[in-house]
Amino acid sequence: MTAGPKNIVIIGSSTGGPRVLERVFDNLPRLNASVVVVHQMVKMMNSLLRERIAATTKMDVVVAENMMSLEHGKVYVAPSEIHLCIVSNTMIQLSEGERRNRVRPSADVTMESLKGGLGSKLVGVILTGAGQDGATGIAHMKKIGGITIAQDEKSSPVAGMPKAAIDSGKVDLVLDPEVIGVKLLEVMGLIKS
Amino acid sequence: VDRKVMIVDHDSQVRFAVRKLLERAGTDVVEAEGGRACLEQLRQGFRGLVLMEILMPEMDGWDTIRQIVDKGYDLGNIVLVLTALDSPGEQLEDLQNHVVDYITKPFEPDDLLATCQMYLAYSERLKSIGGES
Repeated sequence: MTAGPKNIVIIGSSTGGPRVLERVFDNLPRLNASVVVVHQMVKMMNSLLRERIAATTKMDVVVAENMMSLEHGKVYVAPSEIHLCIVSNTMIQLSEGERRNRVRPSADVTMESLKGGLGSKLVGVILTGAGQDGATGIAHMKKIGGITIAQDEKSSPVAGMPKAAIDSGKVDLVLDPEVIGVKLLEVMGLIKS
Repeated sequence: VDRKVMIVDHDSQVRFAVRKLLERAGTDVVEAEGGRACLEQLRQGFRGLVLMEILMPEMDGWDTIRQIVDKGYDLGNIVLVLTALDSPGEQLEDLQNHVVDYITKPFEPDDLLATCQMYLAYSERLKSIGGES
């Protein structure tokens, strides 16, 4: 494990997310990055979603805990009903707080906690879901030098969240879920673009 | 294996089509012709995957889902919306935690079957671990 700021991928999703996440992670090899999944779900689904993602990818998958240090090659599933921030691009901080965009955890909150200029490769991804969570976070990630991706409308069971992100004008790529996995490999330097 | 789906829809043709599709794949299906019948099935102990139409007379799907949550039936059940409503609008925003997926009619049989089987796997794991409060 390397010390210091990590390469980080933040994926925000809601209704339809379990189905789409399985397509994003399908056979995805170990990334030279930490992947944080911020998905809206009831608490009883936390460990089930972790299990399902773990069954599809080569990466280790855990439900995130407070003060957990980020490690490359790991997927962190944000627990229900609590916001997840990332301190200094290295450590998870879980915190109570008001809902944002009617939701908690909020992809906006997680994405906005990331810092630019620390040498991290950063990627923000917004998948299926209602409302507009993630649109502000995507704009922040773009501002600090990250690469921003939204799921295409055709493949989104509910297109509200990716559409809001695209409408912000700060999305670099609009992609089908399977292609998102390939793009993550490109960004992290595992395959040539 | 106890693989149960409840199809909640006022349209008997939809209930028939979904029942046939899922039963051929070895899934037990129960029908509810509206929100009240759905809640009664849940009160009687149904646990599994609930396919919910939104556009129903008397009690619509959103109200039914809210009552499912209020009565605590969301513990141990997974709700998937299967509806003629193309766009969920704001109503879904407050219920996103409780609606795992959203499929619009007319549906592709193979897609619906694959999606139901995926969430039935969630549902079965949920039963085996007894849910988490």
